[in-house]
This record gives sequence, structure tokens and C-alpha cells, in this order.
Amino acid sequence: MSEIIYLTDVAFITCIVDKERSEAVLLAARDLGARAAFSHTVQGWGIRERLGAWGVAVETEKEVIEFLVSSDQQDVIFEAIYQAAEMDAPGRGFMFISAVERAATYVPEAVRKQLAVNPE
Amino acid sequence: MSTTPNSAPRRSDFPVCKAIYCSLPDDGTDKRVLVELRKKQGIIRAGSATLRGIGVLAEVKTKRGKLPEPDLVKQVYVICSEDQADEIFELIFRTAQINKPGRGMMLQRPISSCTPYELPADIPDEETGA
Repeated sequence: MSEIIYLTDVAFITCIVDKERSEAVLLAARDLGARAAFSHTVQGWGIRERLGAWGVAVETEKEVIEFLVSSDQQDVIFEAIYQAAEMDAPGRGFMFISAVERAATYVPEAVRKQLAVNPE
Repeated sequence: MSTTPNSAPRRSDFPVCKAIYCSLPDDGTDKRVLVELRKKQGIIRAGSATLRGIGVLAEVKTKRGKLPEPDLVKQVYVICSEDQADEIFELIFRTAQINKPGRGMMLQRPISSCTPYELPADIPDEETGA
């Protein structure tokens, strides 16, 4: 049985955006080399949304998008997502990068041979 | 840990932990992983959620400038102590066969503190009913 190949120089970008901007975010990240993304829908209540009619909080559906990227790409991908999601405007959402200690996934044989890592 | 009424627990009472996340295909692997974790490591701080995922190496047809249709994936999350992390990471890797194509990916993140979690003693076991 092959040994685990640990990937260590990776970062995790989490981005909470409006649903209509999720595709722009995914495309921007993909164009810069992000190859894996996960998304799920959440319901949020913004801090100012109680100012709606009758003072009732308005439900807002948001998309949480997560990317696993290499550490040396994290800054450019973060900036590209920021631009694509137009996060410089109020109420668009927010994003953050969190540390990843290690990751593992399928590494194609050609890549293993090229790096001389765990050749089978 | 002190839990007397006069001294509420403080954050420093709770230990540093690890969070392991894995994204797995929607074929029941998540349930197998959770069962193995409970049987072999006694892990109950774990769960599974359904997400949409776009794979790294999957070959799909799509129009230029458009995203492919995402797949349904299961994300399993596990919270464990620091000294359990290596064994649990390996157990999930082997059970879910992460080293095979199309089997997903997993990652480990640090958790600065985590509360303990215990199930009530009088809840019957799912398998035996005892």
C-alpha cells in the first residue's frame, strides 16, 4: 500500500458572497490556477437588514466558497477573488485565509515520478 | 477543568485540538468513515455535510468561460486531540482511499481550543440498541 503524500504548503481561502457573484469568484480563482473549490449555501442576517419594512430581519441567501490553494498562490488568488466579488463595496460579503497544516489527495503517478516522491 | 458554579470554565481550560476536513464522493464513504472513527478511535465529535464541489482532475465538457456543473460531495469534519491527529488522518486516508483518483481530498487545520463533547449515557447504541 502506498504511503501518504502530505501536501504542506497550502492555504484555505473561505469566501462568503452573494449568490449572484459566486460564479465570477469561481472563474477568477480558476483563471489563476485554483483547481478545487467547494461551495454551499447559507442563510445570513446582515446587521443592517433589520432596517427593512416593519423592522423585521430579511433573510439573505449567501454562498460560502472554499478553495484549497498553494501558499505561494494565496495572495494573488485572494486579491482576484476580492476584485471579482467587489468586496470593496459595503454588504458584498467577506473572506479570510486560514492555515492548513497538511493536506492529502490523489497525486497522479506522472507527478510522483517527476518529483521522485513515493514511486510505486 | 473546573466546572463549579462559582468558577465558570475559561477558554484556557479547553485544550488545543485539530480539525480534519475531508471532501468525499457522495457514495456512502462518509458514513463508513464516521463508523470507523467511532469504532477504532472513539470519535464522536464528527459529522458530515453535503456540498457542491468542482474536482481538480475531473474531465468535464463545458463552454469556454463557463464553469462545469458541480458534483454533489460530502464533507466530513472531525475534531480530535493533537496526539490523536496522526492516527485519525491515516485512518480516514485508508478508509476513504484518498490516494485513488476521484476519491476526494483531506486537510488538517489547527484549532486553538475546543470544548469536550459526551453523549448522554442512556442513549441506545445505533447498531445494537443496547
